[in-house]
Amino acid sequence: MNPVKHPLLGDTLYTETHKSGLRVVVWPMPEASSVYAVFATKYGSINNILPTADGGTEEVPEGIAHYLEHKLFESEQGDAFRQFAQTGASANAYTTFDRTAYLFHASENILPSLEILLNFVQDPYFTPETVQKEQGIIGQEIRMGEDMPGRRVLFNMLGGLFHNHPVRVDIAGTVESIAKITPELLYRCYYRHYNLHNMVLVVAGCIKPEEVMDACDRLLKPAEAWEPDHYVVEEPATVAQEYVEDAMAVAAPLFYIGFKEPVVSHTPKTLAGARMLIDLICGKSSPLYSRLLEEGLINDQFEVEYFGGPDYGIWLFGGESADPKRVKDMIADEIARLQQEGLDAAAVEAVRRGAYGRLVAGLDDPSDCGELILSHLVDGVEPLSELNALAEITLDELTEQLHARFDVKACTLSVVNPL
Amino acid sequence: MKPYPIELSHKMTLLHLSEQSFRTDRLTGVFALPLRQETAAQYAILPGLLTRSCAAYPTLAQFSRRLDELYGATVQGEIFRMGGWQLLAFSISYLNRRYTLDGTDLTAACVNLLLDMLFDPALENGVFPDDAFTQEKRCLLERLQGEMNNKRLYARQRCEELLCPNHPFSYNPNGTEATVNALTPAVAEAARQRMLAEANIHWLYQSADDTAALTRELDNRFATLGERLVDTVHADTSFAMKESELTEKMQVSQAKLVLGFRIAVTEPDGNIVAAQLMNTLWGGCATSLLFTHVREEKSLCYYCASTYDRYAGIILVDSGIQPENAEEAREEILRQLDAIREGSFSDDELEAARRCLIQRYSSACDNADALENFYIGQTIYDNYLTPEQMRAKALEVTREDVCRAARLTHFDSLYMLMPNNEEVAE
Repeated sequence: MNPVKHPLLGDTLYTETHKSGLRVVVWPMPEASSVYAVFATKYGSINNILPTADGGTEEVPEGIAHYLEHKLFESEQGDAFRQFAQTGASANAYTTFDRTAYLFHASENILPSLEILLNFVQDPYFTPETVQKEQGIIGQEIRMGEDMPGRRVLFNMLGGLFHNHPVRVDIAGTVESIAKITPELLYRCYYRHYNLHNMVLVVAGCIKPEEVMDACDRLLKPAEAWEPDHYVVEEPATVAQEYVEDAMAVAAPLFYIGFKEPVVSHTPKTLAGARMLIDLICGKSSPLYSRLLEEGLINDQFEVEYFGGPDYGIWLFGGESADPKRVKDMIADEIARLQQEGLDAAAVEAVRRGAYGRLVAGLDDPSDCGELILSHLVDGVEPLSELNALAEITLDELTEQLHARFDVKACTLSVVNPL
Repeated sequence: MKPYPIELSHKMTLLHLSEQSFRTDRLTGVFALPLRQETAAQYAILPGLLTRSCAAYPTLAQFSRRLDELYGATVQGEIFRMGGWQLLAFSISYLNRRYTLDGTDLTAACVNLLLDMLFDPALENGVFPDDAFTQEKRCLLERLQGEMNNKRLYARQRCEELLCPNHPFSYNPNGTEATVNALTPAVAEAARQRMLAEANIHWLYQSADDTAALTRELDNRFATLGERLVDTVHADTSFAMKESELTEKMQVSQAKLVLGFRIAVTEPDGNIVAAQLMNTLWGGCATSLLFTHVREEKSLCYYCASTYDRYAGIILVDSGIQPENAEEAREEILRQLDAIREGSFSDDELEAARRCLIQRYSSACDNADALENFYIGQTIYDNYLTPEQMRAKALEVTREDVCRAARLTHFDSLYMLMPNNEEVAE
């Protein structure tokens, strides 16, 4: 494996593209007492189109990537959870818009746990009975999500922000959509997206790179050549709906304000820029945050975030407010003001230090380290390059991003009011 | 090695955790006070008020800017209930000097900032300024009102109220709407002074540095106060056998079923690890009996889990289900408890639960937050065990210990949050 010493952290990461096509990154942490391993495919809920045998395409049921995640734990030999129970590893999995990840955290029996992970993710086993059985479980997971006002207000916002892009659809799908899922469909999705060329393995903690590569050599199966999807979603720059309203059993109105990023590109500097820009616009040290609090428009539930995938980017502002429309106007005005008047150099330097420190502080636990590397790999940037970019990004580059990455008119406000 | 707390002056202790090497160092003050309805809100507003400013940085913007300058140092004020105690934890975490871009050592600046928050807050005429107080009072009130938004947590709180009515074990550590509404800037400042004078105070310090400078600084700060008269709690974990049941309706898609149990295994003398292993086997891991039977075999739910409160002697089992499946789920939950009482579980199931519990202890070692939480849970009795020592204890628990813990567990209360179908239909 290729060792790469990080100039700021001093840690050495080992990376290699295995002969099977799998990108492998190992972050040895000799002082750690555990290992976090995550085996992921760049396949999430937004990958909702499958090629057909006749060269055409087919839309698959909403929620199928998440359904597949649940079912992959089962094999002819039994449940992978039961195998992990023999090693004592804490195993789990999750599906997002752009990835499905299988993981474990273990302090002992690490190599046997790694073997279980590599084996079960490469060994799909779906039958009509097992697929049917999961309907009840995932149906209840969906119902649980329906009772979460934060989830409702988020997906309503995404539905308003996007006309066509599948990021507007709930990751878990609906009770009706998952009823259409069959073993045959699951197999087709699996073989399309769980190709090792489309996957990554990240292992962080008290483990040696050669131990990981030895397991890979023994257990990874040869993968067929693979080409990424070339489907282009026709998504206008405008929003589908500027305002979306709903009602639930909540105490006060919840809101999400989303700004659609006009041109999406993921580079270390755009990732670093996103962290800094949200702090400069509405972080706790910003004038706007104080004004919103002073005017009683937000409380300590207020959050600001950027999240993006291969062809979408969203600036999110959310929380509780008696007057979400006023919050939206004030945020839009502040972005426009900063675009017009420019960024304050001293504020940029303070925010740079803060963002850098918080990112490094988040790299104690092998699981946090593993997830950051995974996120960088899915975003298509070199592991930890975002950290260097935070140290290096200039005021001019940040200003350019502020202009290029915000269109204050492409905005949706979603509100969930009390009943 | 068993960590021993260092006795400080002013009736305080310091637990120095120097063996783990994290990228951040951290200092936390844990202030434990008896949880009382009439004072809960008075203390609950302090984390918000004290972590937003101090006299040297009197506005939120100035204070936050200072934290940014200190490489994103993070201050936190948390409040929670632990048995009959109300715990307030104030912490600052900051980059170790190895990781600052210019090699700056942030320790002195950050330790002083935390102590300034507590001892030298931004006051006007001896009380908290009106604007900051009004904002934090509103935030606290909205947090209380917002608890209904999370239906799973809401249902669990309601079940705790059934289990322990009018008892600190079910008091909300954030107070009530009425007691929050009654707060004034002067009442909050009086609570801050009382907290410093009367709380059981334990400091946790995660750093490879020695503690000489810190203990000197703590001594200097507390020397400005009079003699501390520490308040205490004698928690009564005894219970009478009863069975309560309550069903409420709300506009929800899924029913939330919560079964409340009392267990006669509590801190400080009970066989806690045996009860933890019993709880893990019952519903605390992905191979638990509840996961296996209620979720995987019967497909009744997405989650069916049990949680054990070792301070209050309470176990809650909760599940999100379709209303028509509630009775079947309840029967299965109780059947699995009976199975443990009778020893009707396999060695594989027991050992899987044991390994899961051990992994949970071990995972605290690589995470500064988790390690701190692990020890905060032990500050009440000031008797500390490391994750490794807990692991050794878990290895000693026998099958019979587990069965005995289950036999000491008694069903007490059932709470159901049901969909209000009429409203849904509208």
